[in-house]
Amino acid sequence: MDERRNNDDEAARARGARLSRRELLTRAALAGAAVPSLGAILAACAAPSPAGPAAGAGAGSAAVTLDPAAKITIALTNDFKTLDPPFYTTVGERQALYSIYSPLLELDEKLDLVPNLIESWDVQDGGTTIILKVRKGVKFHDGTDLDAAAVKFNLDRILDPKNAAPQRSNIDQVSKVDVTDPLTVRLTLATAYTPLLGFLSEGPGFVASPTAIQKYGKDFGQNPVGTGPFQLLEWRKADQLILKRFDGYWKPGLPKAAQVILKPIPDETVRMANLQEGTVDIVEDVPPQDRAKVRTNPDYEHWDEAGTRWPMVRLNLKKAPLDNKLVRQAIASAVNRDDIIKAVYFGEAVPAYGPISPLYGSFYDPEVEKYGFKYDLAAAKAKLAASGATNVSFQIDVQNQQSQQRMAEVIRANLAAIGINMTIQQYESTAWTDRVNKRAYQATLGSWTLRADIDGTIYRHYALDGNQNSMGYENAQVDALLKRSRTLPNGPERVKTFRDAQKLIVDDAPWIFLLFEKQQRAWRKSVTALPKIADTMPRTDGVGRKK
Amino acid sequence: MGGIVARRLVAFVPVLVLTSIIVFSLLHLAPGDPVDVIVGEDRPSAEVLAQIREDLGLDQPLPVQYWTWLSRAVQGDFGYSYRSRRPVMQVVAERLPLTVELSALSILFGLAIALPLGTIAALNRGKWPDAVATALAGLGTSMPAYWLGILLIFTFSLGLHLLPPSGYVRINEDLGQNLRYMILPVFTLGSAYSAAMIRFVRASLLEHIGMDYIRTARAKGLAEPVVVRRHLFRNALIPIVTILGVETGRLLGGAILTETIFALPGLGRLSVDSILSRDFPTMQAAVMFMTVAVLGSNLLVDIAYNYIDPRIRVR
Repeated sequence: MDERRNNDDEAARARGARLSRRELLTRAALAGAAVPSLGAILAACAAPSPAGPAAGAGAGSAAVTLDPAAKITIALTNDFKTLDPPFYTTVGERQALYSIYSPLLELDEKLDLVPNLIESWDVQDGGTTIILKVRKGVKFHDGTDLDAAAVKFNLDRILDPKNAAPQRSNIDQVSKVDVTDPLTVRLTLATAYTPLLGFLSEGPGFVASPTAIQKYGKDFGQNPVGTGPFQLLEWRKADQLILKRFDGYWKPGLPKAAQVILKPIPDETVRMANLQEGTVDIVEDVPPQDRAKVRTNPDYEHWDEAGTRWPMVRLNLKKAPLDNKLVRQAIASAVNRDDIIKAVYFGEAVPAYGPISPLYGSFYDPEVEKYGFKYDLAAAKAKLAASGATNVSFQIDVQNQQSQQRMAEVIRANLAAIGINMTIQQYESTAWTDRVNKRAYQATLGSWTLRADIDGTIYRHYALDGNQNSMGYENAQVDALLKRSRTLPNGPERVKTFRDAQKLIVDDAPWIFLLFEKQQRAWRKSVTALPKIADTMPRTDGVGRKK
Repeated sequence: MGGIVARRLVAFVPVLVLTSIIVFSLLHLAPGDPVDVIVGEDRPSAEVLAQIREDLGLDQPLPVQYWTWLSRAVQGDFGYSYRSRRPVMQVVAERLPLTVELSALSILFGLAIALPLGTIAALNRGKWPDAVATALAGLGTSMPAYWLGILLIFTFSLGLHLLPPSGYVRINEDLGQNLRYMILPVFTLGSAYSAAMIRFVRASLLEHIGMDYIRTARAKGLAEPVVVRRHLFRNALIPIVTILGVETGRLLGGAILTETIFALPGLGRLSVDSILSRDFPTMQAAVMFMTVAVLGSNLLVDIAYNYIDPRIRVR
């Protein structure tokens, strides 16, 4: 289901983009985002802070002494109910998983896949066989060893239909998992499926101790055992998750901190208050209205990223009046994205004209800013007239959140200017999801987040058999392109298939593309920065407090 | 006395059963599917969905599902949470310490303000102390908990750096810190409570102030404080105790707004989270607990009547 503030699904990684950090920054700057470099932040923060620990203005230097007894507290938005990797479904749960588990593959700050528990991988037989070499000498928190059998155990557990694991559909192309020697796993796929490796860097890639799973059974979700830098010390439900250093962690010299404490704090104002008072060290998602203050405050450091989450209006192509393509295109031209960005996001977003997020590097097609529908009232009116539809009116479903209500109101005003009457109806989150699953809506305000591979943001929405295609979108050409993209290795050809598909999708307008949100992480200066990987996931192995 | 209690406890049963039926029906008839929440965004195949539904017993007709729930509940088994797969009793039980403490402290705080202020208002009816007390009561009723809580955080935490903005320390870990973290939430919750109680205390005392026995007591030459304490209060206590019982039961059901603002692991947040995620077993258990809390506090009130006013024979 779509993003729901209380039950978000995970944001994943832009996969496979051979994009240097400079390119990303340039593109982001062109898109109007401000992505300050660490140097610029430090320069701005050079003034000593009036209260609190000694400013880490010299943090640029490598020889920073860290306190080995440090306890670092991270504020998250949503609570977590289970820490069993195949069964998590919310952003909060996934954010916690990175401290307890290591995924098979990881991402670097350029959003490229890098080895992790898997030292190397080899794609063979046109993509239907993948050989994974497991790293030697990795131990779980319970002292047992990581080996190919353990990896197989975990993957089989996800794939077993009896377990009904939510993470299953991300890797269900895998038909068989074999152990060919103690440290080698062979995956056999029904057909070539490029997105698979990207998924092994998130949800399905977290490896848990088979011994512990067998020991705890159904309670494993409350007693997680992984290979991550921290292990469970105490879990106070709905209050805080206290993790302590795992001395047998496989990366030498890590972790730096003695404890990491994860606190879900639902109210955004209170979250920021905790950061200010020092009861929390890191806030993963600073609300838009507070970001300007954080940027100018010398007590904090921050990191801005664009394009990790995006709202859209989905249109039901099987119901009048939105079954009429010209009506949809008229709507796309009537919406004033800048208004929404100002009114709802305090400027903390960039306009979107198509489904591909700018964080996907070379997949992102700058041409979409030309051929996509932009705010143009004259064109909108002309399209509406050409459509032959009169007295166009429909209802948009929104969830009961203030930002969604505001967004819908701006859109309603925009549409009224061309004579379309849109009514807004609020639904509670689960009821809203129900209407999407039953395709009962005419228009609905949804959102989506980044996935490990670009496929995860496109295929399931626009392919004929996409499990999120509630719009009833049926374009055989798009479908063929998307199916083909799954078999191509990353490279110019795969990029082209997505760009071609995007052109068709933008023209068909099954969604009204609105904007790409910017997100900001903020942390106290006394704490070292988490890796700047644009998926909102806190990777805590290197975090520490400066002495 | 024992007989009265036993009889009342027996009378609980039909109330509990009726409440459970109503809640059960409302939960299951509301739109939205718990299976959707369990599987998350990537819906598995129809067979898998059917399997999950069967495992949870959601494929059975509603009366059968209710009967299954009831027959287990009377044995103390309230099932497993859909989301965390933990026993519901455990999930609810771990929220109780905070909820009980927050409720108890809020009531004490509320009474500590309401009793003196309400008494002063009643004894000085029409004069400025009455106006001030009534105004404070009006303020307390009209300030939403959400707004007041944030205001308190801004003032005492961000502004004066005296108190932490949110969070919880367990009593058995550090009593001093526990109370420190409780100050702002108790103030938030207790203010609304005390505002209601001020008016009640005032009204109840006023009703008795004009009565003959008070005039007699004063005429006898008794000092005013003695009149108030020994005669006025005891007689005026009945309505106050009544409302105390009602409010206590309500508070024990959890204070959702206060708990959300101050990130407290209480029953209120659990109830709302479980409704929103259609975690039926947890929600059902939370409501049953609230019902028991309300019934229980009413029973305690009725027992208290016997001691306060022997003229009231509770049967």
